[in-house]
Amino acid sequence: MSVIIFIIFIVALVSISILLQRYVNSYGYRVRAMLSGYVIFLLLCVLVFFLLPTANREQEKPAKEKEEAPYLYELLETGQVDQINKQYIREKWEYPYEATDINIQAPDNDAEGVTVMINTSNGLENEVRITFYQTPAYVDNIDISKKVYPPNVKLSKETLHIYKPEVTEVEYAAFTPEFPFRQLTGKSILDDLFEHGQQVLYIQIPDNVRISTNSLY
Amino acid sequence: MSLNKVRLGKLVQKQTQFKLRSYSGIFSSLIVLQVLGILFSLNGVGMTGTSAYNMSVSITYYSADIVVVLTLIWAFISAILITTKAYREDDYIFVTNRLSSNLSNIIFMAIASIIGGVTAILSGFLLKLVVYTFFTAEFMHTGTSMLLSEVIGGAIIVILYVFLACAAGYLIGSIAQMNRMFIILVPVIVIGTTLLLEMSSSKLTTYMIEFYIYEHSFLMSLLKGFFTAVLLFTLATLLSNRKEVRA
Repeated sequence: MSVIIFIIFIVALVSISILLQRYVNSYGYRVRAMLSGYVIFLLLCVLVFFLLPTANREQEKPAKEKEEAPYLYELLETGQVDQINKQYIREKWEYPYEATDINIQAPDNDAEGVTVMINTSNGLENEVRITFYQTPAYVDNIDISKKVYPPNVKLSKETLHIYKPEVTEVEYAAFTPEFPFRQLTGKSILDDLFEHGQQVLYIQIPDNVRISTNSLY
Repeated sequence: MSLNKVRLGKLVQKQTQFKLRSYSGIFSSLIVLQVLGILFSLNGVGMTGTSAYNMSVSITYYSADIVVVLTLIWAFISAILITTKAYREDDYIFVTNRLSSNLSNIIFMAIASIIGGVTAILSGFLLKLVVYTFFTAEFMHTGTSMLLSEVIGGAIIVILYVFLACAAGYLIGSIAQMNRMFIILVPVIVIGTTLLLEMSSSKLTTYMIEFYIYEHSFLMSLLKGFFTAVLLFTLATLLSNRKEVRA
């Protein structure tokens, strides 16, 4: 895209120069005409930019208060599942299960995967319950949680497969004031904008079922 | 001997008007440089990203920083050009002296700095429009959430930096014009000293840049920039007064 814009700019610049050369004899007048045209063009750009809905977005939408999420790992580890607000449940799977053994397979989940926690002291009978908890992830004040794919879970016979979700790639563009403006406001170009949130796949298995895993931590 | 008594103010005004007309080539190079600056800025001036769990987030920052830097370079080189013989000769179509010549040069550079600074700031909006129209990324910040005082203050600082670059170029140009040897010696000394200071443990260069760039107070930035420019122009004027008169 940059190359196309580059070509458009160069063609426009050369065309204007040729036109001016043809119709304006004096070099001084030519340059003054070019400079005046350039300034008028830039002023028009300012006007057009402020007419765009995007330009006023920051003023219209005040920064949203980020909610303080609970520390999921601690609550799940200490068995305080009830303390976790239902809004953090992103996905839930429930399977009837009567076998005495279960094998859990989570291939490729060891690198930047979802944290998997297994709980057996839960009073469940003949059922396997899997819950995917997720606290909000932010980029600046934008909640991107819903853009993130949850892991996929599938129970076949005595094996529970946990498939790592595909990576969500989010790209943003940000306009930042020029450095003399940043100098006065004291704002850095690269502020700490990210908050990853927490993701936990919580597996509840009856306590009479023997568990074997491939590479779960 | 002339029977007309020419007032300095009137002479400086006439010379400035003349220079604004005849040095117009300087402004055509400004337009070309700024358009190039906008094109170079299309890839962004910064990028940040993070990756955790199963998400990868990247933010590309767009700003007219490159345009401002190219405008500073333009100001510096243009000021050096003004001190060269070809440009100095133009002054002799008037009844002139070194002082009026220097004053008109300084006023010309001040006007050029205002034009360069304002167009550099405005070009940021052209960049925003191009990115907004042709690029598909989602926008986070539009960079327009500044107070009016910050906008005006920032614009004045941009103009001041351009003027400061002019002052530095004018001094270096004036030194180089004193003797042919200096044309080679001055850049060698300036670049050599900067490199040596960077390689040594001395942080003088960094300190000198931080002295201006890290100043958050508008008034202090204004004073630092203004007095440095005055100092550089005074030195340049004093040096040019030491030159022989034209035969």
